[in-house]
Amino acid sequence: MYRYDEFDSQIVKERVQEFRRQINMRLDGQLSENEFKPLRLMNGLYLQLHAYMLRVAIPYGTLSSKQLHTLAFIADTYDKGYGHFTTRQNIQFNWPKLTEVADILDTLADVEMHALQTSGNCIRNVTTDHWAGIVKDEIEDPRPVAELIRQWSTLHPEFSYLPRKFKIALTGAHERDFDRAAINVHDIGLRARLHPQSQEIGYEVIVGGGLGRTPMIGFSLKKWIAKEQLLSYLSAVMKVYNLLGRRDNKYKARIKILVFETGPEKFQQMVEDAYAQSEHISIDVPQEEQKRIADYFAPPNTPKISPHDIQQYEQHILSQRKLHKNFDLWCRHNLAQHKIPGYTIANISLKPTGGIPGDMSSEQMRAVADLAEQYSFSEIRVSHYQNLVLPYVPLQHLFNVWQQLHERDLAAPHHNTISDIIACPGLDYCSLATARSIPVAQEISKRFADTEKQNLIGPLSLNISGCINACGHHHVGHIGILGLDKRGKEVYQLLLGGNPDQNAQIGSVIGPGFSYEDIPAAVETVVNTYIQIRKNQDETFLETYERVGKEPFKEVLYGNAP
Amino acid sequence: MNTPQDNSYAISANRLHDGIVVYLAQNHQWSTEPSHALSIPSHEHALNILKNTPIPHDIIEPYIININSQNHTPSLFREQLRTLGPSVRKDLGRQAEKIKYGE
Repeated sequence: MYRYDEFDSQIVKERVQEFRRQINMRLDGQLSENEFKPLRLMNGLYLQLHAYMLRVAIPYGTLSSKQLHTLAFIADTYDKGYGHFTTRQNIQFNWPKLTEVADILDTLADVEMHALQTSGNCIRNVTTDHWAGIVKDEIEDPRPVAELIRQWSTLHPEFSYLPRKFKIALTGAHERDFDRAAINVHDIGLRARLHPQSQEIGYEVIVGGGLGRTPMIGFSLKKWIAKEQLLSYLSAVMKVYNLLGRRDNKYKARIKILVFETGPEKFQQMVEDAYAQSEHISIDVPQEEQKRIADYFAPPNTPKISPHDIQQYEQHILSQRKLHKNFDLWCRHNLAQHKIPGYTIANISLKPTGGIPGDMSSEQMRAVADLAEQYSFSEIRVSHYQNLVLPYVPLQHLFNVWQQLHERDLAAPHHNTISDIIACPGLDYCSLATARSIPVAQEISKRFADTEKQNLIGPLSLNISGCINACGHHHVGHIGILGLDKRGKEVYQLLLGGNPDQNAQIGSVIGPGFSYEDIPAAVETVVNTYIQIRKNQDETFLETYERVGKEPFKEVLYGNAP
Repeated sequence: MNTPQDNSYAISANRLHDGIVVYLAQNHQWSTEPSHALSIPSHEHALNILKNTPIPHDIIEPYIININSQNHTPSLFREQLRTLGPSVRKDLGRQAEKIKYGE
């Protein structure tokens, strides 16, 4: 895992000291709220519906056991015993006191964590595939490049006052393979690619994607750029955006609007011109430095497991699966093939039936931190699906790991099924929200709790946002729900056909919205209709939707009403 | 829903040191207790109070909310949640203290 160098440690510690002084100046009245607000936002501190909220970054979704223990300590000492994992590889604490925030940040800095740039119009936490570096289907582990981008963008003076917030995501997966980082719906998405002739690993740069009020799929700005020149090229993109992005209207300030209004070809030319004119040699990253960072991300020293032993462990797992139905279901849904023989990727669900998606108690955090220490080389991954991952579980310990997760309600066997719901905090916590998301997710998860039914349905994603800002990624759920306020009542729009992966597409609103009480039944109707009209059990929801369109679903939802 | 006769206004804000929701009370102090909120008959009057009442430095982001003049319940669901706490965690927020709108 990446370890801070002396610059990182110094920057983070100094920033905490500076913010502590600013907090004290605010508390004793030397700073007004108007003066203080942008300072607290730059340090990840929001004022939400009930209290302050502190958003802590988990760069590229990688956590150590020690860091997760520290998050549990913060939850107990300074908050209310839990944290909420978000859809951008952050964790949020919902009840911190302003008077204790500097102590929290100091505690985080001790374990190389921070809340820098988790708010405000800057480059936000850089996110990646939560299985980076452990699956076979990737060109390379993208985290060293993500770390380079983190170093480059942290406190960069040119990027501190962008027209609007800016989100970057990376994947190392092949173009043909599954994109788990949703790169097509980020301001900049980066995908590892092999150069067609030299086979050198570089990156494709996709720009202008995003969700929110105006959802758009990004376009490919550059098919391939060498890693050495990547930061220089990104600097050119940022320069064009910084100069021309609209600051007169916050709803038109994201780069996607600039790309759309300028036209992709013209925007591309402007970036190429800016790149050609830049002194990029000073930003280029030499191979030695790339290697220095990449070395931190080398896989842990996993003991080699012989084919004979692997076979024995697999036999043992098979026999346990026959004895324990829940273990069998969990193995079927929540495991993924590891690139190292004898190891597996175990996905931890933070969505028990009727639970709050992404919420985790301090007790659960400690349990997972301990499990990772014992059985996963002290490493944990955080996914934008609001779940966790144990990335290096040896097969011989799998049953034990499952038992411990199961005891703590962390082993719901529903990875990638309809009850693995993404939901933003919504009106229960968020001051921007217009409707509740969490109780809708809870009710739907109860209705689809039957694992037989989940198996019958197959892979299907359901994403819920409590407002147009789309933190719950509702536009790219196979089924999406958007909560709105209509004359004081919560109303929920239903969208179908969204997709966040390599074939990204934005879902379409199916018709008039549903009440809070009726939206779970509407989702059930959509799913039941899909089961009835699909060609066979192998045809996925998206395939059926692409084949038949909206109409069959509209008809059952609204009858013949216009 | 409030009938027009029941509709009145109050001023709500947050406390600086912990962000907790507060209301401008009848004695022009700020209270965490919604039932102590100063009930203001018109929006214009509320705007006037907001403009002319000195806001202490430890009170932040004040704004006008609609309330029921009889029981001081906020009219909008958002404000009801803000008063009580998350609907999905009854153990958190004011609702955890079992205090409901001056009952």
